[in-house]
Amino acid sequence: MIPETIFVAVLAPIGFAAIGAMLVLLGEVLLSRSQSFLGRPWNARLVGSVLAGVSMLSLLLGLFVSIQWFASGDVQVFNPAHPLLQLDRFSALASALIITAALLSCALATYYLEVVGINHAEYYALLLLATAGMLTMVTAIDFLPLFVGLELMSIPLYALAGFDRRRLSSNESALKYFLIGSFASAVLLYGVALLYGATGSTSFAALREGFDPQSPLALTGLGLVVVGFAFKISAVPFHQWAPDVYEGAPSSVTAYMSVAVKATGVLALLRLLALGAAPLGGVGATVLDGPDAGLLDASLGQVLGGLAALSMIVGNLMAVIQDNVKRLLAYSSVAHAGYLLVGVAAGTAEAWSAAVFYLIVYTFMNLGAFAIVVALAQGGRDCERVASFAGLARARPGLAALMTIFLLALTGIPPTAGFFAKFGVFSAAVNVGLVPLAIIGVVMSVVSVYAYLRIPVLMYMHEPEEFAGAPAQAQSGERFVLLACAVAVLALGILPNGGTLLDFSLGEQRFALSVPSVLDWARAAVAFLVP
Amino acid sequence: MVNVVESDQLRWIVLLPLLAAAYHGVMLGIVRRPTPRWLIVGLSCGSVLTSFMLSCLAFWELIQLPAESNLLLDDVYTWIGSGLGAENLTAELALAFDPLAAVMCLVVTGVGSLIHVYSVGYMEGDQRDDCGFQRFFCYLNLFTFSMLVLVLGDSLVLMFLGWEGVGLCSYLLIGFWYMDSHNAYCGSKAFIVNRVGDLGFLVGLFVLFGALSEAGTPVVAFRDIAAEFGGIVDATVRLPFLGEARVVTVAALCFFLGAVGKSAQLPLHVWLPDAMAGPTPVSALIHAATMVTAGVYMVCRMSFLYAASPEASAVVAWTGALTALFGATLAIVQTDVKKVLAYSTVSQLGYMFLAAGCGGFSAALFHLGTHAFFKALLFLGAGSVILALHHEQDTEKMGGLRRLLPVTHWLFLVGVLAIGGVPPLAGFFSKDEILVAAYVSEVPGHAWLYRIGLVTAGLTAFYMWRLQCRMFYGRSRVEPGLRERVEEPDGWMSNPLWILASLAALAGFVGLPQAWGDVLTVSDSNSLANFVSPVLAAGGSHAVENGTEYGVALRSLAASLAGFGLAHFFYLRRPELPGKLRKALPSVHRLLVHKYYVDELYDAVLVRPLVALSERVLYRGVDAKLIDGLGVEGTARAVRALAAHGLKYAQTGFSQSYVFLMLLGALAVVGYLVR
Repeated sequence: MIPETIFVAVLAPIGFAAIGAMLVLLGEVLLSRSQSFLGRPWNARLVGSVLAGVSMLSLLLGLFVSIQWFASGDVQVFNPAHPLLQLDRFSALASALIITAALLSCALATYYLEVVGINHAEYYALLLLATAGMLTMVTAIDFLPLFVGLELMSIPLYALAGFDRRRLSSNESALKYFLIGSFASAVLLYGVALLYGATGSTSFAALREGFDPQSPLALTGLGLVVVGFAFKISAVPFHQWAPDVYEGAPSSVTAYMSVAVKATGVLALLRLLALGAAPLGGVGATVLDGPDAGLLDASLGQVLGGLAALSMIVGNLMAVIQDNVKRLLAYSSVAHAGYLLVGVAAGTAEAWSAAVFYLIVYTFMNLGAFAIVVALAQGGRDCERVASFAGLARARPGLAALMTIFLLALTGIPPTAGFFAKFGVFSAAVNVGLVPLAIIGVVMSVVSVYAYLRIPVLMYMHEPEEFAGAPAQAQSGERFVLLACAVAVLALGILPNGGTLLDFSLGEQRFALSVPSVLDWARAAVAFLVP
Repeated sequence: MVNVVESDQLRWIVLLPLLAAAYHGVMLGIVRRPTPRWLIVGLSCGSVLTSFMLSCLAFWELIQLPAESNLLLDDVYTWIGSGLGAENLTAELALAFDPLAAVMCLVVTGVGSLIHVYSVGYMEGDQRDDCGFQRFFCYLNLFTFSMLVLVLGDSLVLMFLGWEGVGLCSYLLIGFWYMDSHNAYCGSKAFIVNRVGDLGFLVGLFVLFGALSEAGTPVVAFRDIAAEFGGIVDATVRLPFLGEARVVTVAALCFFLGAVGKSAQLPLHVWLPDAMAGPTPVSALIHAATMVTAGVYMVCRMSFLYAASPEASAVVAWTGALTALFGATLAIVQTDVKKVLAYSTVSQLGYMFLAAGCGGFSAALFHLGTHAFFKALLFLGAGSVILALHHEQDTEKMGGLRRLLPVTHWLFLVGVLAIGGVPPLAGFFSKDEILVAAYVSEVPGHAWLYRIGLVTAGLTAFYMWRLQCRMFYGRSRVEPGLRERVEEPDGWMSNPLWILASLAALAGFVGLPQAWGDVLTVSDSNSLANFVSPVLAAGGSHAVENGTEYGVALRSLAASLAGFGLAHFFYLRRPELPGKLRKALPSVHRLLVHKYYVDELYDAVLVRPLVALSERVLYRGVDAKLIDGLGVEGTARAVRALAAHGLKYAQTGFSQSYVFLMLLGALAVVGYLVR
């Protein structure tokens, strides 16, 4: 008997993911049991496809619910007596984004798992559970569900990182991720405890009312919480696990982690700051003096800005010297965490909208780049070395072209959406006076050209070295993912402005996302140059 | 203000050659299948001939117009439109057909079609290139299009488009046989030297437009400029190092620099003799009859500008006179038939500028027309000889061709007499008019200008008769084996020559000076001058008394006859004399053979230092070391080194060190917040 005041619907997206995970596990058990009755084993590929289908179906339902919710614009709280989860437009959008990433990751994995020889049902169950954790994090309005979600997300990911258990590097990856992740979780939890000590509550709303900017206890707690988030989005100096883990984990897992975890981290942080940190700053703090400013405390803004700068510098510089594609993309994801933090640190509605738009674009472009790596895997091995991309344009012209698009987007070159994402973040930073951050970002984008464009140069201007036995075609799942990502990356960059697409508020923070048109941005750029 | 009559047929005059060129281009570059020869010939010659007929129609329409209007305008669309109010710039893509353009247009399409027809015969046997035949006609059509844009363009901007277009086609056609690297070199030389002039044209355009904008009338169309010209006559502009100067003078001199480049005047004449590397019909069409006269046409088109600036006019006149003399002296010692004709062209173009500088714009235009006829005739005649002798151009290996090529000999003779100034052929009248203009003008030193012109007339007769003697008379120096195979050209080549010869003989009568008209009791005998004078500035042209006219004519006739006689004596009567003279005056001969060392001077002063600067300093130093080495690769290396030798060591691979760094980071964050 559920009390009327508990709105179960709030749980719907999370629920679909969680139920999907259970169905997958049950299905696997049933299928493997039925083998003994039938007397012959099931076709492994068929089983994999069926389970992937079940997972994707449940995710699709979750996506549908999220979109519905966003369209309706309702705000509902699960258990108002002690509010823990709240479904609103922000969480609906965040859920939709995360579920999309999970869906694409599922589609990407089916064939890859078979190639690498790790075609097990647990993969999908773990992936769905991690997704459920992420959805919990972006729906939470209290530190308790936030932490539960964090762990629900992290633990399946540890397992997934070590999923290719016969491979040493996969095991190393899992262990490192687990050790360092636990440390980060502990730091976050310690921060939450301190905040509870300072305010007497774990809810974001209480934080907002009871936070004393003078209290060292509260400030330490806030700092530690930020560190916990910085770990999840792999911002410098909490990034060092990322290259090792990304390199060792199976490519399909890396693809999922690099986009979904980062998206969850940034979105949950935005949610925490929007709902909880408002009283912290005192309107008109030193860094941010504009009508829009003030949701973010000056010193917290400076901390986030510092992390952003470090991430952009270290991530891009380190990407330059990598000769492993997955490590390169890992450092690239560190750098992109920096760009995202620029938007978060700037703190205005414009900046946060830009950050969310950046996340959407980042999801597609990074997933696309990893999808190429996944599609090139063969003979049980990943295609990891940068040098192995040499001459790809001749052997696989389509893949080479797509890879070029994704890398151009990651670099931030128009007309791909990557340019507009970066432009939005930087211009928002400039508008609140964070000019040094924007300068660092632009200079480091130049450095990133060196890192990324090495691959197209190899693909188009060098002789092939080892693609004689490459599979004739990408599989349908991979092709779907590649195509979806490419279309998204180009369409978000090229399509004319359809007006403000998503317009919603969270707490006192208003978000306005629009698909930018080349024309509008160009106009903005000109207006920026010619005051 | 001129009354404008709309006429939308003008565009086809320009478009037809372009369409033919485009068709050839598509077939050559995209379809890549051989086109039947009859189709190439039909399209190319047909399009230019149709253009000529349309020009004749337009000409007919023009002279039918009532007295107060003398301009047909075809405004196709607004080409460039920008700005508002006094700041705006509107350039129409419009074609204007006024008397000046009409004369030029008829010459270009008329002589052009004859040369197209001639080219069919000339290029027939050329096997140096698979698609050479079609490529040749493609360029030739493109040239005709560009030239017609230049001539009919209604504004300075459109004229510049044509100006650049003919330059490009000239480059393409000089280097037509590009497999021989010398030809490619000659093409490049023509193009590069012309760029110097083009810069002048552009600067002139900017200066003029700037002044007009400041006066509140930003216009680029010729008739608008002429109408608004009063507003800027007294305007001045500050020049770097030179102080204040009149806008009119500065613009006129800049435009003249453009004309100097295009029309091969001193000191930018060096490209024209080398341009003879192209096929002979090209030399006839582009480097004698049409393109090189574009400078003269432009000066006539801007006659109001020059009339308003005596200083610029003096520069024009003196440059022209000196070039005329200079070219004529060089033509004397050349042995290559095409080189003789090339220097002759330089010299004759100098004549035209002499006339224009002295205010005789209609005389310049008259000579432009007659020169087109007789110089095209001479070039095509020379081409027939060259083809008959299997591409032999050296007059040392000709001689006595009169018996082998009788028809060509007679036709060539007409051209020689015409350019030499023998009445009543065309050259006599047009040259006479120039000399009269110089005689009566008020340009500083006009008496000397006249004398130079007179001497040049004598020299012209001398070197032309020398050429005629060395080619057609005297002992045959043709190689014995070749002599039996020499035959007259076919109808494709000879028929245009007949037409040109009759034009060269008779064209003088369209510009018969009134003094002669009085003798023949014809009123308004100088119909050309009467026709074009409404669109030309009246600067410097005076009513000339009949006595003066007769005096000048007699003296120029005397000079011509002296030239002919002397050449006859030297090259037919006493053929050993030139050799003795050469031995007696070795330094003079060397100076002339080396073309006054102008090429060597340019090479030493401009080309080599520039190449050395580019090669050693700009390329190896600035580009390779500074920009590439330090700027591009240096930063890249620095970035890489920063990561590879610094940041990398933080990434140890040990979880303990990662956690340690995280701890430090967390301490820093908390420490900063608590502070």
